[in-house]
Amino acid sequence: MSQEISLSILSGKGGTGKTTLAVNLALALDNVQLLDADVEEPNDYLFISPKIEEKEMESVMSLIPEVNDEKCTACRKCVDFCEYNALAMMLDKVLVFEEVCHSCGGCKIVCPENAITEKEKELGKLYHDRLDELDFWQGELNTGEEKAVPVIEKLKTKIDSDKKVIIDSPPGTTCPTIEAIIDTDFTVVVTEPSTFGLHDLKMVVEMLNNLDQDFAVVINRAESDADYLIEDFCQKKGISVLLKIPFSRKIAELYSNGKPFVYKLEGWEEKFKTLYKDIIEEAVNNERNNSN
Amino acid sequence: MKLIIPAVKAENFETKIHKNFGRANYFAVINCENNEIEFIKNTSANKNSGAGVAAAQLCADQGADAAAAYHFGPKAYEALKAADIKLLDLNEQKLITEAFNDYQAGKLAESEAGPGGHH
Repeated sequence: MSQEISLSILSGKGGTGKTTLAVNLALALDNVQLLDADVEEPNDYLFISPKIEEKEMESVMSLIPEVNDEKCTACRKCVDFCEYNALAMMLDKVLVFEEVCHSCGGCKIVCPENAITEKEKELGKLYHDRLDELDFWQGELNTGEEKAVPVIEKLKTKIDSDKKVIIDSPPGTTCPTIEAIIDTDFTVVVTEPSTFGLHDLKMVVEMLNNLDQDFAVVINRAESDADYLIEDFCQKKGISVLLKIPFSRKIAELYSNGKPFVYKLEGWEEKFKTLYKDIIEEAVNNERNNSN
Repeated sequence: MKLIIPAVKAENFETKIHKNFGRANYFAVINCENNEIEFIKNTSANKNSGAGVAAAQLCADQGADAAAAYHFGPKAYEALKAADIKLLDLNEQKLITEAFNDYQAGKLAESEAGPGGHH
């Protein structure tokens, strides 16, 4: 079987249309895998598998240091070592701030008294559901936790490269975003024709250029008298605009009822299939240009 | 007694108070016995992670008895409490001298753990 490509969907800010594009595109294709990597606020499941919490679940664990106060001599080597300030020495006792710990294990190594051991802590969860043509995975960061990257790393171990892979990425330009897109073949950036949309698009484009990541743009909530905001910028930068999803009350109503519009509005299944073909073409062209 | 107040610059009693504790540029360390003030640089102000913890560590290492700020993040709050440092709330005060006067007059209320943190 030939290898399919992997795709990440990204936007500069939340509420732009990542979910709309990821879900509707995934449902228009066959042999597809959708991974919701927006782990701080995953919501693809609302359209794909509303009862995802009752489906398959596995924990994402991380290792957190535990200090034996009997053995600790308050030498402070662990506190000085910790680059993330997850440890503090207060009244000769080591305090552990679990949420900022990056589980590097360094404190355990530098402790001359062997006073530090590690314990497992649940950081987040992965959920899984399988529809006819769609294999769906969702990463979710537990409430109160701060580190999304390990959850996304674990989610990525579920990638099936025999399928068309679509990763719904966290919005913005942060570490979790980069973790979600970095290994995909191509990125689709969703934006909207507003000053905010353009501003956040520029940030994302700068990041993608720094990462040497191939990408194209889809305009959501497109309006003929405003699209020039995005189109002028993209033209100047040589970025392809592959699709416009119109600003439509009907689409908004369907969305608010948890209904993917690809099934409800005529012609859209075809449009998303065409979008996918265009994406492959872009990806192949970019590949060719890069190798020249 | 030693009082610590976050500051925007390393100057004197007329310096402005920094709006944040963990991310303050400097800390004013005031010796309440002789009214002497010195400033230490908050070396962790721009850390991606755990700035509040590191700032609290700095205050504990100075041997502070109390810290006064507009806002303490949750981790700084927990760390300062563990060091037995008294946390005091500032409101209207703008300059270090105003905060210090109110502290000496016993006008500063004890602080509650506030919201905080970021991605």
